[in-house]
Amino acid sequence: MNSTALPQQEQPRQGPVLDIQGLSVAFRSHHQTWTTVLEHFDLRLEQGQATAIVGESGSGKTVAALAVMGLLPGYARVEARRLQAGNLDLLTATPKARRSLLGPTLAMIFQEPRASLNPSLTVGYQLKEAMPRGSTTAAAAALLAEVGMADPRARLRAFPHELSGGMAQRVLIAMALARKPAVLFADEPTTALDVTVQAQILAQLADLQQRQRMAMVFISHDLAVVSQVARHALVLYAGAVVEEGALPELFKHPAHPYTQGLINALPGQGDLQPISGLVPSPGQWPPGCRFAPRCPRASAVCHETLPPWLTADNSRVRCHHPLRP
Amino acid sequence: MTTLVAQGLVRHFPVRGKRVVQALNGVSFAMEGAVTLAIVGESGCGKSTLGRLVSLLDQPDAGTLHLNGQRIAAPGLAKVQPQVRRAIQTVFQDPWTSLNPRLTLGAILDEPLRLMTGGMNPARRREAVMEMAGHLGFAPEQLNRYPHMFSGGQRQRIAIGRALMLHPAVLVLDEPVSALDVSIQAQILALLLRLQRDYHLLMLFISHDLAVVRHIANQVLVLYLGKVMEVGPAAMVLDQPLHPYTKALQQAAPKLRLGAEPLAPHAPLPGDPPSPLDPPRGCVFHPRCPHTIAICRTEIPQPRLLEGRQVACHRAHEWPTEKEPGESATAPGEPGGGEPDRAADA
Repeated sequence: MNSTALPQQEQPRQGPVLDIQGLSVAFRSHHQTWTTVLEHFDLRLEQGQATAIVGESGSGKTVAALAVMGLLPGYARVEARRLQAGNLDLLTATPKARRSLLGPTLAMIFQEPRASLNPSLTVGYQLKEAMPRGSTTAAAAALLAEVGMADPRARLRAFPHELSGGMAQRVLIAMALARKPAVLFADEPTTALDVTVQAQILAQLADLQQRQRMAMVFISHDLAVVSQVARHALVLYAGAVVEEGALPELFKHPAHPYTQGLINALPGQGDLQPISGLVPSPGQWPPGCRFAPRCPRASAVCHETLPPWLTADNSRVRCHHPLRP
Repeated sequence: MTTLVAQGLVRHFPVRGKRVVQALNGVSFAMEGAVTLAIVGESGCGKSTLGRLVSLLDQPDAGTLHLNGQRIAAPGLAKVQPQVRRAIQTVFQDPWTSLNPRLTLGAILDEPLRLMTGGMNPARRREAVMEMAGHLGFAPEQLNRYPHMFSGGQRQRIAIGRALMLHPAVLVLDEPVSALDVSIQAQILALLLRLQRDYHLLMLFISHDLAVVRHIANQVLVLYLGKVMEVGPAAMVLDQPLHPYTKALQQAAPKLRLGAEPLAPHAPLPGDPPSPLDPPRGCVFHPRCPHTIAICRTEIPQPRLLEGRQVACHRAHEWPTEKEPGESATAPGEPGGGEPDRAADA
């Protein structure tokens, strides 16, 4: 890894560590037409803030993270009014400058921990790749211990297939934290794990995030999991944020019917109320509010015009008929 | 009324070096009527192996399985009778891999009839397919569509419909909603409850999600390293667990945080389950159990009846649950007992 850190990274940060305004992402199809998968996406994170992006499959939550990381494929088009990480303007930065952000400023962990590791290299080798050049084995072991790995020295000599899913995810968390990133994107990091191991990883992430004063963007479809690690959340539906606000208030008194629908669809609280219908695919988004065809509160205006943002203290909702003022 | 009884099911898989993966080690249960037994536990505990044995996709190394009094699985039992095969059908976890991409919805629903009914006439098969498609909420013109033209939830509905075409008595569902989004998951659970009533299905529901299980199951069986830790009515096992492992599973399940409580608390169980290649001596749970005493390390706890459920723990009697006055304990495996946590007409 290139170890030239940007000089400004060393200074105390002022202002947001991540500032996204009006981000939109489109993919080019075989017919040379563009399909928009994410629109009007805003996210501003200060140092040490933990926020969550909640949404069902295809809502655009992973795309938002990949756009910031610069990991989208070549057929993607990223546009934004503002896209800044650390002190770098990602819209104008060279690929090399963007690359240098990965590690010290931006890091990411993914859903399938074992798929993210190279099966033919030891844990220690891969971990040291992520660490500053010349890091010692002792430092690698200390890093593994930091993320709660039992017997870290022995684990450094292990190959990925010798690890359980939970241990593999700890290795990836260690790799992501190796350069003390300002922002960690965690994309469904516990979805593939058992509940007992999920509880361990969530506790570890929440602890590290708070102790290291790192900003975290936790991406998940699971409202319960999100409520355990974040103090703020954005709810994404069909490529656009429909509501955002502080937790747990957002889940306690949602204003958007979709957020309420997600909560009602959670099993384990008496009567289950499914949301009828299907999430529309990108390219088939209805005009007006995209949730209108499935919404129990929809009226004529919802089908015609995109609702404006209604802003309260530290929350906002995009709905013509919100559940609360 | 359908009865399904498993007695001492054992399944060991030999691996290299004369070693053996002890996937199932003596699992018993008894069910009667249109009820749902949920099998819960962490990955590698033997949930799916048990599902495969009940589906008759695999044979036990010891133990028996009886359907309506007839022995349908035992070591060395010859070929499965076609009428038994028809009576037990399976729905798998991932609807993207369990449907043939080259068959249309109509052909997928028709296939079981074509293969297993021995010459049912095409007009009646067509009628049955149309009726099932209606039950599942598909329009007639969708019968000509292929699996890739449907969403995940629709595909899982197709898989459920296919399993019901032969009017089975038992439906085995292996993590049927794990691959689905929460709003779709709720639709599928509601459909399963409706179909269970309409078809009088005895369901075996394999899941790692206790909230889903609480919603759909009457009885719950908790597996750990191929052994039953606790089995009984869902309300008792999940709401007032006696086994430390059941308690830990319940505590580990993420809850929607609605108050001022702190973020992700400390995990209730450290580490991972031990390897089924080399299960611990004594109680298999003792290395992770917070209540281990000397006897747990040496003696295997026998299942015993306690507070309306069967539990395999040396110390289960030491932590009694609050019993509601006037409530009579239901023996595990007895029909009925333990209403799922939902309105009767969900």
